[in-house]
Amino acid sequence: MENELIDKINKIYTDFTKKMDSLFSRRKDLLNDYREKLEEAKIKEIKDSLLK
Amino acid sequence: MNRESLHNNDSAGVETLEVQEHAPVVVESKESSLEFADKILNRIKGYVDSFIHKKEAIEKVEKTVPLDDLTTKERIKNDIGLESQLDEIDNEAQKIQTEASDNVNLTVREFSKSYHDPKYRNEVAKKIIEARKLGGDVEAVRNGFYNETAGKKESFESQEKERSIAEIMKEKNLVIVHAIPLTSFERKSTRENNPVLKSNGYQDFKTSVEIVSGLSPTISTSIPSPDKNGNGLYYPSGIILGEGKILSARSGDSGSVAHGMYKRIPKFGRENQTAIQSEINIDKVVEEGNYYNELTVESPQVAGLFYDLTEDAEPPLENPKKNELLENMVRYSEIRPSEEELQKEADRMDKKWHEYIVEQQSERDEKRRSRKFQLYKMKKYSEEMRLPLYVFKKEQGELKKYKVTFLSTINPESETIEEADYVLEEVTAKDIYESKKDIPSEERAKMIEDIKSKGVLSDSAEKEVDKKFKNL
Repeated sequence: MENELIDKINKIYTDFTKKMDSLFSRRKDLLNDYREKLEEAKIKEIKDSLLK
Repeated sequence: MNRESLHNNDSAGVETLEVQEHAPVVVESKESSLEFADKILNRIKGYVDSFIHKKEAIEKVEKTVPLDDLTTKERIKNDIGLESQLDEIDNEAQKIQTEASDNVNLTVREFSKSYHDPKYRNEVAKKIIEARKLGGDVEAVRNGFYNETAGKKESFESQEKERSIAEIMKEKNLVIVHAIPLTSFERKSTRENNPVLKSNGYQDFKTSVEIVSGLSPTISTSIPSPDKNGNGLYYPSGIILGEGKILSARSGDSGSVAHGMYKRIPKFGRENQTAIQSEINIDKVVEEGNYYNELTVESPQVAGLFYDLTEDAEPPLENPKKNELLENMVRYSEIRPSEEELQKEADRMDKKWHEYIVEQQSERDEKRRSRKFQLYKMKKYSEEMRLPLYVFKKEQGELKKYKVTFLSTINPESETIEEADYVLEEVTAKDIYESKKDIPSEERAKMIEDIKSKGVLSDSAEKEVDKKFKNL
């Protein structure tokens, strides 16, 4: 019973960490995407200021 | 495993997971399952808490790429749906956290569901409802119940070795048996104790063995002993277990009642609200009491069949109380009896004793004849079910265990087994344990189907069986 209980809890935890890691990756990709878009805008901003 | 933490990577300005390890968490020494569950609950909470708040995460990215044009910044955010997607991720994370925490709590609470008397659980449920109505602390009532039972649970779990049938067989040379009558007219009524059986317990020997073997229900068993009446056996035939966990053990009848296929609760004794006796002492259970003891066992596995071949001891040729009775006759008579009268009384006693011996001998002969038929039946069952047959014999104050090998010379027409038809080889409980064979999944599945087709189980029992063996 003891080991059975611990195995069950461990399985719940492993499933949980897998799901959470996938969410973290999504969050990270989204923020990276935002940063890249900001960088593109920044480059455009600098280029525009140079052309003025 | 190190605690996972989310931190801000300064160079990239975005979140990263420092450690992504999915190996099972190791249980620390002396850590109970409840403490382990608490540790995991804290880790789950910590995991979500380590998320950087949405606003803070966006600000950190914006600091790495400062943009003067605020309108462009807002447009980019809207184009990629940044805030709404981050909200969605955060909500999902909260949902996953709640689900995981609930599952851990449920797993711990399953223990109570599996082992406590439904009446006891209902009483606690009533208290919770009452607290809810009166605006009391519902969680306190619920936790009180789990804390109260947690101590017993821990003590129960600490006796892993003492409760293991395999260990008892190997270490103590004791066998744990589930007695089954060979004929239905021998069967004592256990109807009230087995509501899960539609047959009211009157199923045949083979079906009874298949139920234990194929479905592994929580059952009532006993440890035979030469010092008890009938060697402490409820019936002289049945099965010897090779695996299982003892939930309760008493030196007498505990009147255990099935509350489902996998929940059996003793009716007698102090801990009658739970299937678990928090502490058991096998040596004491075997030593005490004059009749059969009762042990409830979960997840039993069958190692073989048994039959008790012990014969009643032969009465002495002379009445052992004769002289004492004659002396009392002299001592308590008002007039001392004459020698002639004493001789007459002695002759009368001898005659009576002789009649008793003849009667006993006739009974012994009848039992011997019956044993020959029954051993023949056991041979058939042993061959049909491919389970080894063992016999018990009380010899020199010991209950010896023998493996039976039938000789090929047995007349197939015969319906009895004579002593010349088999060879006995003395074995230990450890030998029996080591000879046991596991049941292949296909065979178990077939057994389950056979039992169902016989209509022996109640509907609820069938559901429990389906749930337990859904992966077969």
